[in-house]
Parts: sequence; C-alpha cells; structure tokens
Amino acid sequence: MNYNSTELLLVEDNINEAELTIRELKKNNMAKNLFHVKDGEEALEFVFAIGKYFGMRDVNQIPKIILLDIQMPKVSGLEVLQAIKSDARTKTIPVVMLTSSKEDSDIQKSYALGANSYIMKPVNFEIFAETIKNLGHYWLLLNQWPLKSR
Amino acid sequence: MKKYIRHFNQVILLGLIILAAILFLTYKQSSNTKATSAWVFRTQEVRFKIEQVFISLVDNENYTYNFIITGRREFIEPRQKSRENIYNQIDTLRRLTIYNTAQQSQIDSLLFYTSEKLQFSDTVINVRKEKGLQPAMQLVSSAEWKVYMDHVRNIIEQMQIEESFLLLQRKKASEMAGDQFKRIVFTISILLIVFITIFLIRNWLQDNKQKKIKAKLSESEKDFQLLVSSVKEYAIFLLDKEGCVVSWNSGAKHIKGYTAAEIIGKPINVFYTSKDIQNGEPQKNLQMARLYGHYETEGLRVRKNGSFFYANIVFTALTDDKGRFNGFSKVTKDISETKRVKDELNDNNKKLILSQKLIQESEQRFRNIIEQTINPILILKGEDLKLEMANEPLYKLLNIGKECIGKPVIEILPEMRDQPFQKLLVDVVKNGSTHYGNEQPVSLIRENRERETVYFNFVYLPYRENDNRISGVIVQATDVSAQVAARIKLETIEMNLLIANKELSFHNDEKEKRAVELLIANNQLITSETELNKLNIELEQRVKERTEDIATNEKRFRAVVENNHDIINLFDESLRIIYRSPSASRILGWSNDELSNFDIFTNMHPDDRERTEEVIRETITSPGNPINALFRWLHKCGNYLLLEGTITNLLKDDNVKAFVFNFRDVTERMEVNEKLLASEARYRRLFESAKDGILILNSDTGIIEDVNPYLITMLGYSHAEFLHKELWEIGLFKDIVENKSAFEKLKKDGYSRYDNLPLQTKTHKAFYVEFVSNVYDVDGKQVVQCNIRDITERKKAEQIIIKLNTELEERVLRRTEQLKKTNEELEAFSYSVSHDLRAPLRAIIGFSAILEEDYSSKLDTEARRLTTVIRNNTLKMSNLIDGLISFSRMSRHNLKKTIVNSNEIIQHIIDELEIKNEFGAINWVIHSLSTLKGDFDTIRQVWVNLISNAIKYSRHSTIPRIEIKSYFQNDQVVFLIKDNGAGFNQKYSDKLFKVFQRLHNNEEFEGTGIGLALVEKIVTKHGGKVWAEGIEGKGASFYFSLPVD
Repeated sequence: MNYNSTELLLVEDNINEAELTIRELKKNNMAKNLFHVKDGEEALEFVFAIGKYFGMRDVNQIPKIILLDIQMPKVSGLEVLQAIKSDARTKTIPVVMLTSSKEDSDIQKSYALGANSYIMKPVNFEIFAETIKNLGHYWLLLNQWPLKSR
Repeated sequence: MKKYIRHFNQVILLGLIILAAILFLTYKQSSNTKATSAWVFRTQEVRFKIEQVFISLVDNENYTYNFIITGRREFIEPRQKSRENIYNQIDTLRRLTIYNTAQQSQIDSLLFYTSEKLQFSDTVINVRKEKGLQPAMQLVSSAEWKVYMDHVRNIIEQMQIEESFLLLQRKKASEMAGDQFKRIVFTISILLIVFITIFLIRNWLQDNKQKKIKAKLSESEKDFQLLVSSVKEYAIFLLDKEGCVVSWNSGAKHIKGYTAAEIIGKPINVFYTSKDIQNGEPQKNLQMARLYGHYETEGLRVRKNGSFFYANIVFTALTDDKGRFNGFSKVTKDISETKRVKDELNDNNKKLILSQKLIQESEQRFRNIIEQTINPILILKGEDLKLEMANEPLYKLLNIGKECIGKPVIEILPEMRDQPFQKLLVDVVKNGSTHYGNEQPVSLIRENRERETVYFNFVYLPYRENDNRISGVIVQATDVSAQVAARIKLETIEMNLLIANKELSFHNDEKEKRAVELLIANNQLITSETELNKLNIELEQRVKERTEDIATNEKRFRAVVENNHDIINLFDESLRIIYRSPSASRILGWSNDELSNFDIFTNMHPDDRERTEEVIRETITSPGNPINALFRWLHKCGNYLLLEGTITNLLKDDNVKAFVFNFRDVTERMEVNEKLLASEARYRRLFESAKDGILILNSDTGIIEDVNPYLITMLGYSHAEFLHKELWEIGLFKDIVENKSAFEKLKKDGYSRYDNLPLQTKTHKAFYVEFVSNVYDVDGKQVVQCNIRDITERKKAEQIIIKLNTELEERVLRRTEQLKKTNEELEAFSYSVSHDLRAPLRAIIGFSAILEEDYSSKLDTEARRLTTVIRNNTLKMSNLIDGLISFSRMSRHNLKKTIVNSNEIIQHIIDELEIKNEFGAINWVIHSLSTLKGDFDTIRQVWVNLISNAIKYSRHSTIPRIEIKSYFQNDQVVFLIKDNGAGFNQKYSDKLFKVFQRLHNNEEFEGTGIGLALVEKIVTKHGGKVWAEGIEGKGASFYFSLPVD
C-alpha cells in the first residue's frame, strides 16, 4: 500500500458507518485512493507519519480531503482538527467534519478551529447516499487543490 | 519763471545726465567714425594690391616674352623676382580681404590661374632653352597661353568691381558717421547754451530778490528805530558787551530822566540802588541774560534825580549776523503804579481772610458742639450731596477720616448708590420734607476687616440757608443696634427651637446665662443713653448761649436736637412741663398743647408713680447727676408705653432751672425680652423631657456645659460628674473623640455623625449609640450639641438580619451549584443522545436500503414491505429523538429579549415553506400584528410550529384558510392562529400541549407530539400562556398570550 498516494482519508470509529460511506464512494468510483483510519489517534499517526505510520509516508504528501467524525474514543475529531490546522505542513489539507451531531456548539468549534466544511449525516439513507456522492464529487473532482510540494 | 527757478536744482541734475549721455554717445560715435575710415582705407589698399598683382603678372609676361625672343639670361632673374612678388602680393591680398568670403574665393581662383599661367610660362621657358625659339613661340601663340591670362584678367576685373562697390559703400557710411558726430556736437552746444542761460537768469533773479529784501529790511529797521525812539512807556536801549549804554530812546529819557548825550557810554550801574550794586546785581542780570539769551526781573531802580521807581526789566542778549555775541538790549517799564494797586489788593485780601477766620472760628464752635454728641451727625450739601460736615462718631461709624469732607456722599459710600437712601436724600433736598428711617441696617467694615451690621434710626432734615433756600441735608443717626440685636436674638432662638424640635435639644443654663448677658447689654445701653442725655443737656445749654452769636448754627443745632428720637422734657420745681421736644409729641401721641398742660405724673401708670417719685427725690438730693428711671406712660391711643431714661436735677443751673427728663420708648424691647423668656422655658422643657441623651459643649474648649436627665439615666454618671469636664477627659468618650483633631474637624464641618459607636455606662455595661453632633451659632458664640441615642436593640435586630442574609446567601450558592451540576449532566446526556442514538438508526436504515438494493431480485414483495417498515420506524425514531433534544434544550435556553416583529417572521416562514413546496394553495389572512418583547429564535420556533401545524391539519380542506391576528386583553398581548382544518375535540384540549400526546394517529397526520409541547414551553418561559379551541372537522384556533412590558 502506498500511503503517499492517499487522496481521501476517512476518520470514522463506527465500522458500519464507515462501510456505508465507503460503499457510496465506491459506487461513484471515488474510493480508489481512499484510506480509512479507525479513530482520532490513528488519524494523527497517519497524518503526521508517527507511531505505526512512522517512516511509511511523507508528511508533505497531503491528501486531497479528510472526512472527519467528531465523536470518537481516545482522541476526538475536534482535537484531530486542531492538530492538523495548527501544523504548517498540514494546515492546508481541506477537512470536512462528517458527523451525526447537530449541536450548534460543535459547528461553532469546528469552524473556529479551521474546518473547511461541516456536514451532518442524515438518518434517511437516500439523502445520506446523495450527500456522500456530492461530497466526493465536490472535494475530489471540483475543488482546486494546492500543489503537492509547497 | 519762479517755478522754474524753484526746480533749478533738478534741472541741473537733468542737464548733467544729458551731458553724460551726450559724452558717451560722442565717444561711441568717434570710435565708430574711426572704424569706418579705417575700412575705407583698407578697401583702397586692396584695390591698389589687386592692381599691383596684375602689373606684376604683366611684368612677368613681358620678361618671359623678352627671354623667349632674345634668349638672354638676364631676363630670367627679374622674371623670377616678379614671380615671387606675385605670390607675396596675393598673400597680402588674402590677408586684407580675410573678412570677405567672396573675395577670398576669387583669390583662390586667382592663385590657381596665376600658378597655372606661371607654370605654363616655365614650360615655355624650358622649351626655349632646350629646343629653341620656334617651338617656344608655338606654345606662346597657343590658346593655353591666352586662356590663363584671360582668366586672371577676368578675376582681377571682378575683384576690382567688388572693391569699388565696397569703397563706395564704406565711404558713404563714413560720411554718415561724420554727420552724426556733427549733429551730436551741435546738440551739446545748444544744451550748454540753454543751461548757461538758465543759470544766468536765476542768478539775476536772486540778486533782485535779495536787493528787494534788503531794501525792505532797511526800511523796517528805520521804522523800528523810529518806533523805539518814540516809545514813551518803555525805556528801550542797547548795551555793549560790558553793559555800557549804546543807544537811548525817548521812553528811557522819560522814565530815567537822562538825555541820550548824558547817558551813552555810561555803565548800567547808574540805574541800580547802591544796595543792588553792592550785591553785584547789574552784573548778575547781564550774566543771566547772556546765559539764557533772555532775562526778566523786577525791582527798585534809581532815576537821574535820585528818586526810586519800581521797574520791570527785560534783558536780551544780542548777536550779529554771524551769531557772535555783541551786546544787550534792555527794556524797562515803570510798574510802580501797578505794584501799589497790587499791594493794596493784598491788604484787602488779608483783611478778608481775617474776617473769614472769625467766621470760621464761630463755625468751629458750632462744629465742636455737634461733634461732642455721641450720635453720628453729618451735613451734606450741594446737588451731588458733598459731605459738608461730620462729627467724630460718624467718622468712627463709617471708618473714614476728615479727608472725606468735600467729597460726594456716593463716593464715600459707593454701596449706597441707587439704593433708596440716595433717592431719599434727593427728595429731602428737592421737597424740603423730613424723613425718618427706623432700624436701618448698615453693613460696615470695621478696623479688623470684619463686616459688621449695625442698626440706626435716621433723621434726614433739609439744610436751609439764611434765605430759607434748601441747599443740603442734615442726617442724624441713633445707634439702635442693641435693641435690634435683642430682637434678632429672639428670632435666632425661635429658629433654634425649631431645629431643636427636630434634633431634640437645647441648653437652658446657657440661655439663662445669655438672658443675663442680654440684661447687662440693656443696662449698658441705658448707661450710654444716660451719657447721651447728659450731652444733650449740655448741648442745649450751649445752644442757648450761642443763639444770638451764631443764629444759623443754632438753627442747625435745634434741628438736630429736635429731631432726636428721644424725648427731652423739662419740668419746673412743681413738676409742671416747661419744655418738650417735638419728639415727645410724636412718640407719646399727645399734641403739643395737650402736653403743655400735663405734669410729670399725668398719664403715668399708677403702679409706677411711687417708684418715680422715689427717683425724683433722689435727684433732689444729688443735683446734676442723672438718675435712671423706668415707668409706663399712657399713649393717646390708650395703651401704655414703657419709657426708660434719666432724670437730672438742674434746678440750680442758671441756664436750665428745671428737671431734665430724657426718655426713650423701650416698649418693644421689653416685649422682646418677655418673648425671650417664654421661648427659654419651651427649650428647657424640651431639653428635660427628651428621650435622647443631649450633651452641650463649649465649642472652643470642648468642656461639657450641660447634660439632660435622659443622658444621665442612660450612662449612669451624675450631673455633677459630667459638668465642667473636657469631653475627652471622661473615660466613656475616649473611643469617640480620641484626640482634639476629631473635635476640630467637627468645629470646621459644623456636623458629625457616628452611626454605630460603642459606649460603656459607669457600671461598664457596653452598648451602642448613634452619636450626632451639631455646631450652633448663638449670638456669635458657638455651642456644640450632641444627641446620643441608644441603638442596642436596633443593632441586635440588624445582626439577626445579617446572619439570616448570610445563611440565605450560602443556601442560594449551594443550590445554584447543584443546579449547575445537574444542568451539565443533562447537557452531556442530550449530547450523547443526539449523536450516539442517531448512528445506529442510520446503520439500520442504511443496511436495510443496501438489502433492498443489492438483493432486490432475491426479496419478494412482503420482504420488501418489511424492510420499508423497518426504515419508516427508524426514521420516526430519529424524528422523535430530534424533537426530544430540542425540547430538552429549550429548558436550558437563555432568553435574549428584544423587540420582535411577528409579521416579518411569519412572512419569512411562509416564504421558506413555499420554496420547499410543502403545501398547496392556502388562503392566508394575516393581520397587522403587535410587536412583542421576546427571544427572537424561540419566538420564531413558536410561529414555525404553529404555522406548520395549521398547514398540516388543514390540508384536507377544500380551500385551506389560515388567519393570524393579535389583540390586547388586560396587560397581555394575545396572538391567535386559526385554521379551517381537521380541528379537535375540545375535551382533549388540555392534552394538546403535552409531550408525545397526540389527538390524531400517524396515518392521518404524521407527527411526534413534540411541536406544541415546545410551543407551550417557550411561551411559559416568556411569562405567557397557551391555549387552544377546536371543533372536530371545523378547524382549530391556537392562542398564546405574552405580558406587555
């Protein structure tokens, strides 16, 4: 597995949730360079090439998009977001909060920490599927992405 | 012409400038002429040189010919020489025409053809030498030979023409320059002639004028000499430098007696007295004149016959034309007659002064009399009321000196300007009326610079001259300050009584003391009155003595005495009235005639008769001494006046021969004193019965002057233990007034207050008091009054309240802490509900959907229906969760109240719903709604829920109609939304607003049962109420009311 070629990083602790998301992306042919990490801790290890990803990838080779859940064990999504946005090497990575939370406080905090978007996962599956499709389409295809080497 | 001469200097200056200009032009012109002639010369030289070149060429040709023909060598050398000449001449020519380019190019051609020609002739010569005559001749006769020569000739001809032309031009220029020069010279000559003429004319005119002036001068000199010699009143003559007489006029002869022949050449000493000569007077006079140019003196002079005359002499030092001193003129006038007249006048003046002095002395006597009275008196005279006369008491009163005499009264008392006082004075002068002013306050600045108010009774009388004309005002003042002070004291005391009623205090001993003081003051007043009476009597005697001597002064004096405020009566031995001052009639009410029939006891109060008789007896035993008396006297109106004064036995005095009664009406003063005593009694009662402790201190020393009974009971010290001790001496006050500085501060501020002060009784029982101190000003003396109130009970109550408050506060804090904790727990709970409960629901729905999608071929209809049921229920659960969360969040929501416009909100909601296309055509009837004060977000939620409800439940109606309006009821604004939808049974209306309670099943109208519960919660939180009315199948009305602020 070439970690450096990862375009989409999905941070989601709930395996079922992750499966639904990945399935919708695959269906739309957008999961080719997708990598899934199971919690906030692993997300940080991957992004900063530390812990079990030490020496396995170049920190400067940033993904096109990170889909980040908030409510996760050990390290929460907001903490991951803060770490990414406060490191010069990673702060340009677009981060989309993808969460079940409707709490205004969560939305406020996310944007304050530099989130690029905030998406609430709808319970209704049809709407969920549509949302994921749009999300992938927008960030992977439409969005203009900064050059790899800054 | 005159004007021209006047401007002569300017003309000369102009002339000089013109001359300079001409000179400059001349110089320029001459150099110009020089240059043009040089050019002419040069041109002629060029012409000559051209000719020479041609001649040399011809020479050269001749020599060449000669050699060719003859073949003789001797022609070669001259030819060679001519050849050199040619080149030299051409060179010279080139130099001369260096400035003419045309000629230069001609010279180039000339040189070319000449050298060609010469070369060719060289060739011919060589041919002759080598080949003989024949071939050489052939060359000579060839065209070449001729051509060169023709060219040269041509060029030379051209050059000659050019030079001739130039010569002509330059000659012309030179001639012109010469002409110009001539013209300039001519102009110069003309101008010079003009100037010389002007100068000569001017000189001639000046000479003429001088001659005329001289003629006039000599003429006036003659006149003058004639005049001088014929003047008789003045001796006018000249002296030489040494002071000897040089000339003599007829006046001199007339005054001094000498003829001219006798006196000329004699020194002036002869005119002086021997005494003056001894003093060197003549020399001194001359020196003075020499020094100052002019000297005037007066003195005795001697005539020829030795008689004296009084003269006025004027010396003038004379100078000649060049300013050199050369003698004196002397003018003497006999002024003996003038002097005699003057001296006589002086004598008369002296007599006049003497008589004035006599008048002044008599005036002075009168003044002395007036000035001896103790009452201030002044006389103002003239339109501007100048201070004509004043006595010593007045000076003291106004704190002024004698230097004010003669000044207008307004200048002396500027503060009186435009006050009634001034008007009054003017009225006295204009109308001759007499004015009385009683108890007039006069604010005066005393020597110690403090302002003091004194009170006077004033009498303003017209001052009449002998011809009865009014020329001023006599003002007499009587100091009644003591009387007024007594009344003011009463008023002050009354006022203090009022204060005391509020603050509960005053001190009686102090008052009693003060009453004693008051009595003493009154006695003093009486004593001073006695003195006054004495003076009055003396005055009257003096007036009698001087009546005939100085009638005017007597009149003034009488006016003063008779307008005295006091009663002056004289009784004979049998006590019958023989004189009464006009004031008696005024004060007592009885007319003059009535009074004249009274004896001393008529109208006297019967009770006072005996005492007065006693006084009269006393005066008989000590004649001349005024004895004090006080009795009541019936006024014509029927009430008794209290009269106070003195009786003096002057029966033995030849001038008086009577008992002199001098009295003053003191009724009012006595009334004041009575009131004073009454008010004192009121005070005392207050002081004694007050339910506060009262302490009176001397403000200067801090010594306790009095305590009231309540304070004695309160503290347990006896009256004696308090009295005459300094406040800080008593142990119990040590905490209050630790040192004198606190006391000083009290004196400065006039007030101090301790709300909560610990005190100890004599038996060491501690308690708390309120301690209020006030400084009072009583008759200029400051007294400190302290009110002390026991606040032990109040303090206890206060402490209980404080304790309760503290406990309460602690309880509130604890409760708040608990609530905060509960709130936090709730927050965490609802957060996890919103997040964690939703995820599994999404999974259920998601995987059901995948099942349907991926295995649709393997699922039959029933299986597909079942998955749909799963999905629908899961969705419903999701909705329930959302509703629950917003409902629980509502209880934690903090309202931010602003003015909310419901019409705007409603329009916005409808627009949004229309965009989502969630309903069909609805007949909206929205009235203008009242604004309300509330939290915008939640109020919006209320409207969203109510409107969606109305839409939802009226969607089955044929024409859905929704009406929204508001109205006021009591203090409430009521909002109402009414639809024509499904409605509800009124008997279940109380269930409408309960969570999860629904009146319709989900198949009919979907819903969670949270919307209206949320509405209820929001409105209740705003302090309002919700209710609903409905008829099944007809529609429903939902109301909510909010309080109007």
